[in-house]
Amino acid sequence: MFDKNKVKDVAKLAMIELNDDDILFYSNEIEDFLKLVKESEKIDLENIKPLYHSPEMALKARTDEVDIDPKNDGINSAPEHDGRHFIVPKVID
Amino acid sequence: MEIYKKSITELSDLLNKKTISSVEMTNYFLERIKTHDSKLNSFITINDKFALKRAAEADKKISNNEHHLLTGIPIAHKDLFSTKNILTTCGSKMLKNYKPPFDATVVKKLDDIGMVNIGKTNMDEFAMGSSNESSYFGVVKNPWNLDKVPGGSSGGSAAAVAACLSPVATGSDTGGSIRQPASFCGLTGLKPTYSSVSRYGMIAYASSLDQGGPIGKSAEDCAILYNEINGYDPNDSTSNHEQKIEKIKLNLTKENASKIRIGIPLEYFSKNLDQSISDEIFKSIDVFKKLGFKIKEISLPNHNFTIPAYYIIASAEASSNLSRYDGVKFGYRCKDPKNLEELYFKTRKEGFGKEVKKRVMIGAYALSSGYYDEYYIRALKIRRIIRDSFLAAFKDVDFIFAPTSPTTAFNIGEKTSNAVDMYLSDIYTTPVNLAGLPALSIPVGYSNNLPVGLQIIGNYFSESGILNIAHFYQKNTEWHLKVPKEFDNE
Repeated sequence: MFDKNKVKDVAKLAMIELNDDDILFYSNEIEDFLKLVKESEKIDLENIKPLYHSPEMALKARTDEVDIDPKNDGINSAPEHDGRHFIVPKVID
Repeated sequence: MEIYKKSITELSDLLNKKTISSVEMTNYFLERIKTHDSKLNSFITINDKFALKRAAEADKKISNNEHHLLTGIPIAHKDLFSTKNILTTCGSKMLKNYKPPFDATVVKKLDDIGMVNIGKTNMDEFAMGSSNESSYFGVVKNPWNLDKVPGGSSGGSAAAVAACLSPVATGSDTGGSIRQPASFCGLTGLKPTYSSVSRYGMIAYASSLDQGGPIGKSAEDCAILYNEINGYDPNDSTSNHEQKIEKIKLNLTKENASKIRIGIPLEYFSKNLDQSISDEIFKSIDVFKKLGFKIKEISLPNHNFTIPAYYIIASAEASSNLSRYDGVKFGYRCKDPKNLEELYFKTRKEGFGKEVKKRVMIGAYALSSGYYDEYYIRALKIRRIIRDSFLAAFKDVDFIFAPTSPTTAFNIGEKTSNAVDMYLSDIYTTPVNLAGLPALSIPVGYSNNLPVGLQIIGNYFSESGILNIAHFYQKNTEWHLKVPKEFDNE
């Protein structure tokens, strides 16, 4: 059973605030989903290795060079900034 | 002149002969959007000023004979492709005001050859959905029946092309999000081999599964677009750098067709499949037989376990990818947070919709200590079994035919209260993503006046074969030429 306490734990991991109605909703939704997952327990996975991505080819790394276009500075997309820094609520009093 | 019905090649011909300019063509499609999109809601942003400027530039290139087949042709981009200084929302409140400082590689490549980006299309929030009902910007309607969903997550792109509001569009496919809406809207949609199209600038959902591709009226249009968007990109470390991809030429003959072996997986025609769809698919298989293709039954065992594996893997990757939405660097921020923790928790509560929150939480759970092996690793093992079953089948046949979706387009609201039922609608498309294979959906008939899609699945980098088979079929049939009645007018 994916009870309300489990929903609260997972919401904390996912950093999402939930109210009581949300907790009940996700408890039922996740429970239904995990029932579906349970059916796949019938499959024999003995000696099978996980497959992380496919097709399996080596990743090509970029050269270790700084390549920043100052005109593409992403700071302008921030909800709050002073042109050089991202502004967030005070962390230390 | 019925410009709205024309293929890319026909439109390009009109531009080259100066029968019409790109500015006129762009205005024509922008007018169609103004007239019809209030019924569909397929666009989130219409780039009229930007598009007309680009069209004028394209006209200059055409006049100077510096053009490409696609120069001056309008296109709509799914709203998860980053477009520089143009709103890119990913269907979410979280990004409702986000204007990226750069273009996605797919957008840039098409921009560079002079295509005209007329707008950004609606989609399920963060591409998480099969019906386009999870968009913050509202439900998209199916041009074939306005009470039905267009499919998802690229539902806006599919609805826009089906209603001829844009000649062609881009989409992305993580678990069927190009093929299923193409199927529901009577279109042709290509999900390329994972790694063949750069993901740079595509807002990430599940990075090991996401793949961009074209949605068009025909295999020919999809091939023209695919030829331009594939290729190695140093900005995407998972981008293909080993396999050389030649430009696709559509030149399959009956003689060559008779050498192609097609497998029909019996497991895909079980009780899950609507009988009327099965009937239409088998009618199309008869056509393929007459065209010379060799058809044989095959088995793809264990594919019924794909849905749980897919949703665990996709949700796990989503929970990691979407951790970037914290209200600090870009996107939505909640009002007046008291401290940093409240900033994160409230921003994500208010910025994400229900389905996104659920998948992020399922992913966080599947990756958490104590459950990682039970869920995530198990799902990855199932992924290998699915992939290996495809590779075993490809020793015996060259391509696989399957239904794209177990049903035709369903009613708006029909599956929103039953998420598992909604997930099961992806049963025939998700195995292809887990394996990273290419697949195409083409229209092959109608059931209750709604389009039915056939899926053509190939081995890695076999897009040329897939598109040739589809084009050969479309040269001999007319399903892909049909336009929904309400939109079949100038």
